[in-house]
Amino acid sequence: MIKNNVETIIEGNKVVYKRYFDVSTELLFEVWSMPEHLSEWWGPDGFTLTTKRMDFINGGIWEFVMHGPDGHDSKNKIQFTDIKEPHYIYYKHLGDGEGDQDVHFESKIIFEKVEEGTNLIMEQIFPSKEELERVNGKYGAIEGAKQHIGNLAKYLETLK
Amino acid sequence: MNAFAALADDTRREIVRLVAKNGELTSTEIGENFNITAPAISHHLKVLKSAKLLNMKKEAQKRIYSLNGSSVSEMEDWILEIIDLWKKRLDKLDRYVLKLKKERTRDKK
Repeated sequence: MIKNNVETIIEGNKVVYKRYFDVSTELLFEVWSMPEHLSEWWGPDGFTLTTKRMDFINGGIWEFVMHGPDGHDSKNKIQFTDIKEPHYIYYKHLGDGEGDQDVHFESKIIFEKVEEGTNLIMEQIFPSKEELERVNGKYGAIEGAKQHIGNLAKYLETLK
Repeated sequence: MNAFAALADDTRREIVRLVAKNGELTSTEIGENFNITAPAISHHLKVLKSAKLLNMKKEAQKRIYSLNGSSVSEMEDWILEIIDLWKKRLDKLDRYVLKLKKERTRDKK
C-alpha cells in the first residue's frame, strides 16, 4: 500500500495527484471511460452513482447523479474536451448539471506506462493561484500531522 | 455567480489580488490600475460583490472595497475537501483495478 500512496503537489493554480497502479495502461484507461466501471469506484465510500448519459468522445457530455449515504443526490455534468486512448482524458466541469455554465475547473487525467504498471497523473486546474498556495500551506500541515499519527499507529502495532 | 466562476475572469482575479494586497481600496483607486472604462470596472466589482469575494461599504460618495475573508476560507475548505475526496477515490480505484486484473488473469487460464 505504501508504494501506491497518492502524492499530492500544489503548483500554481493546479493540484497534481500522482499515483502508481499495478495494472496495464489499457485497463486503467478502460475503467475511466465506461459508466459500468466508473460506478464501481468514482463515488466516495457509501455513495452510488447513476450515469444519465455518457458520450465518451471529444466534446461529449457525461451526466451523472451521485447518491449519498444520507439519501442526498447531487447532479454532475462533465464535458470531455480531449481524449486520446490510452494516453489521456481531459475534461471540464459544467456546474451542477442544471445549467451549461462553465465553472472553469478543469481536469487532466494522464496515463503513463511504466514497466508492467501505469502512473496516473491527474491535474485539477483552479482559477486562483493565491488560494491554492494558501491551501498548500494549510494542507502541508494537515498531511504532516496525518503521517505523524500513521507512524505512531504503526509503531504501536510493533509493540503488540 | 459562485466565487470560482467569478474568479475565472483575469481582470476580476487581478482586482481581488489588488484589494487583498492593499486591504481597502475605493472603486476609483481600483480603476486607476486598469486600462478599462469605469463602467467595466464597476461591472466587475458588482460581480465580485455578489459572489461575496469582496465587501463594500459606502463613505459619503466613496465606495470602499475589502476582501471577504469568510468566503475566501470557504473556497479553501472546498479545495481541501476535493483533495481528500480524490485521495479516497483513487484508493477505491486501486482496489477495483487490482480485482479486475485478477479476474481477467483467471479467465484467461
